[in-house]
Amino acid sequence: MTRRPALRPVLRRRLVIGVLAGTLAAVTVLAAGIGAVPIPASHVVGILIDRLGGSTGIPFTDQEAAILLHLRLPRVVLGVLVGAALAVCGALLQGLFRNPLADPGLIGVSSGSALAAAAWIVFGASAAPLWAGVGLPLAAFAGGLGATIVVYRIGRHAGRTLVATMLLAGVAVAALCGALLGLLFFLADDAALRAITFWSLGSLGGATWPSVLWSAPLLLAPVLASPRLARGLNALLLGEAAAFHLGVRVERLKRWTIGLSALGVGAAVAASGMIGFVGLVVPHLVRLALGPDHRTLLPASALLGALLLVVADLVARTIVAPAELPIGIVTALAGGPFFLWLLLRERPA
Amino acid sequence: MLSLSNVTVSLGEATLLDDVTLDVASGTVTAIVGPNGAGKSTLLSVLSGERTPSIGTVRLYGVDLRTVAPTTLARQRAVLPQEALLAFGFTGREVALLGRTPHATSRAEDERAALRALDAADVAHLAERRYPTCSGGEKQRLHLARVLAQLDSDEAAALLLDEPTSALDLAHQHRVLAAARRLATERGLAVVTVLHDLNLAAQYADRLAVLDRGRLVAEGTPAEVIRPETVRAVFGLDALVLDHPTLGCPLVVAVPSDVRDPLPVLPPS
Repeated sequence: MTRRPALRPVLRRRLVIGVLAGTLAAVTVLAAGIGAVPIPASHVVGILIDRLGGSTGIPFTDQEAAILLHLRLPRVVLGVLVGAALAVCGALLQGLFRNPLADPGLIGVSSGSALAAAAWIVFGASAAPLWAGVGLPLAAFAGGLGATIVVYRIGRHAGRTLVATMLLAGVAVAALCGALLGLLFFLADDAALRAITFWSLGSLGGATWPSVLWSAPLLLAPVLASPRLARGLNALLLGEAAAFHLGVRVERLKRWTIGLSALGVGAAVAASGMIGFVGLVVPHLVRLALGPDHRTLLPASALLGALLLVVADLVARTIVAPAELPIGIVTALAGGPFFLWLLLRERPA
Repeated sequence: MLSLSNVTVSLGEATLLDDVTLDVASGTVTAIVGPNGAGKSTLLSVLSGERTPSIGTVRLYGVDLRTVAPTTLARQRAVLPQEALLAFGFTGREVALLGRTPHATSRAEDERAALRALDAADVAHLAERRYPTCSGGEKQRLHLARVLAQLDSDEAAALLLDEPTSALDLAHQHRVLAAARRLATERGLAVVTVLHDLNLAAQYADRLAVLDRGRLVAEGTPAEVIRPETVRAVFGLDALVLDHPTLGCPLVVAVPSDVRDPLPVLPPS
């Protein structure tokens, strides 16, 4: 009989999470240094420690410090937050729907956000010019939340949340939002069309410290709160009845999962537009490497999602420099074929 | 220990359970038998606290289940489902560990309980196998291990099994029921199991409860309940009830009227 020692999975989990965290830190520092004005990694560390009140003796110029602190850092930090939130929300919803192919779009967040953002671009921007900076993210966030609430209400029946009904309602709401979005395309002028298109492809280019700060709590909420749901989500994979038999308060778990996902995805879309595939592919990858236990899946997904989005943004802003590629194109170009490969690989023989 | 008093469950117009009163003593095995649609699974879901009766109460240790927190309840009773959905690639060990969900014990203690449970369910060799690659019978035994891990505490009081033998071959049907029997005899649990096979029920149960169209129509020891007239009235089936040659319990041999005529014996060719 081959039986592994009981502690080995725990060690493996710690090792993978440690390696991911270390890689994320290193890649973040490197990515912050790459751009039109290169900043050596040592200078990046020096500037950061200097600003935190320490001293390293590493020489750096004021120009480097200004570029890092005002341009690169907010963008990289937003990438970390958005990537972590999208990946964690993907993992949460895949657990809720007991389907490894579920995507944050399934509860209507993305489509609702897109519709509201497009409506803002077509009508709101001219009607309320004073709101120019905050209007778009606010509309996107409200639209995403609104669509999720509609989907959730349709799925509620007699004090229970019918997950399968929610899934279908999500599909229907997404189709409806798509149709209305098409109507907006029809009404929009060329400038608005272009704005909608670029917004819908996603970009971290709009990152500023204020935008990072307002979105950070919403993006961090699912990342930090989700580990508390991990054991319940594990049990939920057995079905709702079996989860109840294991002592899980199923309705409360479902409410928290949906609520945290709506906040996280809504804030991510508001801050950076539509970025596909991170929420779908990252949890999938982590499951392949570490298994489906949410106690590992959720933190590891957060780290890997952050890592992938920082790298994708680095590619997006450097590959056609001085121009910039929308990040959604990068994630879809890399994620699409990869996902197809996964599907082919997992096809039953 | 585990008792139903005057429990009625209605769903719209339909009455799934009609005024059922039943008491399951600790240390005993009760088998619920009856034709399809008699309300056996409904009865089990009411006993588990998963479904709240429309009328009547369910009590464990004399406490109304409606007032017990799900986690507390889950430390006291476990349920082995007929078939469990699990599309995700947990290892066998992780499936057993799911049984530790309601327990606030240390991770190392949970791991030990899971390994003990895998051993007891005869699936220690599946500890590192991915669940979706296991056969139907192996999956069922992994869920038995999960349930045993859940009951691995001093609080454990009841085990409910819903048709536990459906995916199993003959030897494993007996192993699962023997494991349930041991939990009753050695640990004093109240065990309730839904069974289709009257002979398995006769062999492993102390008490039989016969459900028909939502009503409890007979209740007692196997010898009291398993009679030709009961089998005919409830199942609409003619049967002989013999004495089991070694176990002393009743042995049911179905003799359906439409095939009762002896088959013509073909001459040797």
